[in-house]
Amino acid sequence: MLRCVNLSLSYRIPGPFWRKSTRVFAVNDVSITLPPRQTLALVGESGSGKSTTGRLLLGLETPDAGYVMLNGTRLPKPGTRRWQKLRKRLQLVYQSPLAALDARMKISDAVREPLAIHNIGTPQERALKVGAALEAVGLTLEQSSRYPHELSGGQVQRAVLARAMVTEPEVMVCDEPMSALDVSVQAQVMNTLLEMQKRMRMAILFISHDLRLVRQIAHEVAVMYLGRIVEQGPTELVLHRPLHPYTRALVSAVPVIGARGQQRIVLAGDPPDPSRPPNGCPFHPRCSLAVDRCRVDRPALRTSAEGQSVACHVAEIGAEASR
Amino acid sequence: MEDHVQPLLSIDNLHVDFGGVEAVRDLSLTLERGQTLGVVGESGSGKSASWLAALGLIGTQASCYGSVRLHGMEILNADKRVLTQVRGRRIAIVFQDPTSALNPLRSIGWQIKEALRLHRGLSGRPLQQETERLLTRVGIADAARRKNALPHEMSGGQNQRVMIAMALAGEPEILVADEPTTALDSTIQAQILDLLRDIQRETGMALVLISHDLAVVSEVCDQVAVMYAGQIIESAPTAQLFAKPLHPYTKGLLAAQPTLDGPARPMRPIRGTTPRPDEMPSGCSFAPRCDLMITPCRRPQTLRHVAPSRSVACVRVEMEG
Ligand SMILES: Nc1ncnc2c1ncn2[C@@H]1O[C@H](COP(=O)(O)OP(=O)(O)OP(=O)(O)O)[C@@H](O)[C@H]1O
Ligand SMILES: Nc1ncnc2c1ncn2[C@@H]1O[C@H](COP(=O)(O)OP(=O)(O)OP(=O)(O)O)[C@@H](O)[C@H]1O
Ligand code: SF4
Ligand SMILES: [Mg+2]
Ligand SMILES: [Mg+2]
Repeated sequence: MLRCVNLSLSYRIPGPFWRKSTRVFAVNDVSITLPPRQTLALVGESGSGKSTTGRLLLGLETPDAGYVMLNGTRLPKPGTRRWQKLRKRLQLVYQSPLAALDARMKISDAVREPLAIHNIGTPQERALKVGAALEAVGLTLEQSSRYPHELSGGQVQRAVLARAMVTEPEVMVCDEPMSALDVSVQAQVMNTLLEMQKRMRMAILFISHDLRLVRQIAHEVAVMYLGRIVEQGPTELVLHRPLHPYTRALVSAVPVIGARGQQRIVLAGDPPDPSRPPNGCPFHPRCSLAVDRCRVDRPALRTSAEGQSVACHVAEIGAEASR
Repeated sequence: MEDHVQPLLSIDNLHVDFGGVEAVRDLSLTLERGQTLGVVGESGSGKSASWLAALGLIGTQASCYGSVRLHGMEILNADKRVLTQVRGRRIAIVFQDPTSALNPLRSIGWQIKEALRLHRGLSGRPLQQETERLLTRVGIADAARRKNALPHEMSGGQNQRVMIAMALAGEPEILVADEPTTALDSTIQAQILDLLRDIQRETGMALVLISHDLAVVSEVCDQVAVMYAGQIIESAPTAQLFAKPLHPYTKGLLAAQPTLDGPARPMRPIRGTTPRPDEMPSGCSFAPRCDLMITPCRRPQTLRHVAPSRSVACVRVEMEG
């Protein structure tokens, strides 16, 4: 089981020489638990810290505060031998597939590489595993003999997925893994992931903007805004009875076939600036429900009896979970 | 031909060939001022390749045949001098996978300024102001400072918006946007689509939207072309396509679409797989996966008109009205 507790990370950004450098608060106080066989979807505003959270969770970046535990022990420092050994059990599907692959390496070699690095299987076994992974994502042998720039966007994305799947990891962080696939191929890849999850007891962090896909795969959904989780709970509840005003806007803006000009909640004001997060509730400058308290007090996550958590002073959650 | 009947852009019988593998076959379409054309279809069906070829951006491994005319001027395989005048200024493109399309060593502000200098001849203060204005318009907060960031210091969706700002910098007549909102959440996606629509209204810019998101296409496009295995297999006005898809591939694609509302049901892929290029059927390319296949399907299928602005490449589709 992978668990992270109160993770925070900020990046320094240099200003012009006459100004001081500032900090971008990318992830703030994020705690996540990923039990085996479960999928947690991480959704939310572009730039809210989803990819950064994914990288922190796999130990690819070092947090300013907080820690990550795998099966009860602290994740070792990146680059150490112990960490190297763990890596094959934790895989990341990068958001930008072309940047994730070596341009001079053929696709089949790129998919085989993790097996070689982690010394998994004999050459014959490796060939079988590579073949199976490629087939699972719908790439042909001929396509896998090409270089990344000789494939379509969706084909490269599938290659990156196959590369992560080939070691049969315990935990997979999938960062927008299907954004370049047509829905029929999405369906195929989705079924493969679900089957693999069952068979391998794999835990998945599924980062995606596509709430329809999220609904297909996730047991739980966590919603991020400006570096923080503002809502989390069972998928059907979060998507169909969102409590946080930001989640409501997010769900209402999902386009629907044949519903041109549907009613969506338009967020007032500018997108937030992560180098100057507002006091109080991070969402208050754009929130139509904000009251005085929202401008000074930051709301903590409150959990309803049904297991839906929300960080909002105003949202009605009914009976609170007893703790 | 008289000028006023000339379409803004017309593509005729375009073929793109990667050393014997035909990625695009016999593609024809026209684009009018202010129009929004959606291009949807299979992953690997030639959506990106056809537009990259049209703009001479596809590299040397490909041979391109046919014709691509902008206001009647041939630009397919045109020489570099012509193409540099067309690209960015008259036809701009937002590439798929923006993080790898941006220059990793230059700040995002530098890259937008470069486009502004090149296409609009701006410099000095106006150049700074316009750079920040464009970044703000695509929803990047604190543009004055964030413009100094390198692409790897931005999120995936922020880079996607930087690409859009760069493309808009040249105030193009045609914007080809290849999956421009895949890394954006639904609220920012709606904001960007509104922005593009506003610009279209202000300037008459035509938009080619390549996308796997059928719902986005259904909301913003006037006309939709569906591609399968290198060909357009169906083309129709948006409302008609979604209300009554005609080609079995289009039907399968729409049926596979998951929804946010209604009962959750597992996604159903279209059975079978895409034909390998070396095993491309001589008849309809979809035939091996099609439930309606009959003997005449073994003959090559080309697009034929079935109604105004509506065509389909399938023998089983009856002529309408
Ligand atoms: N190396 C870096 N240096 C400085 N800022 C960074 C760096 N990496 C990320 N950021 C900033 O941190 C914030 C969070 O970025 P992150 O990539 O985690 O967002 P995201 O939620 O994945 O967004 P998207 O949905 O657009 O991919 C953003 O404001 C981004 O600009
Ligand atoms: N340099 C190349 N050499 C050989 N084949 C190529 C090359 N570039 C692209 N192809 C092939 O051409 C076909 C069309 O590619 P294209 O990028 O146009 O697909 P697409 O429709 O944009 O797909 P996606 O939705 O996955 O981005 C694909 O099958 C791809 O593998
Ligand atoms: S805490 Fe206040 S500002 Fe924040 S979301 Fe709730 S109502 Fe809006
Ligand atoms: Mg991201
Ligand atoms: Mg493409």
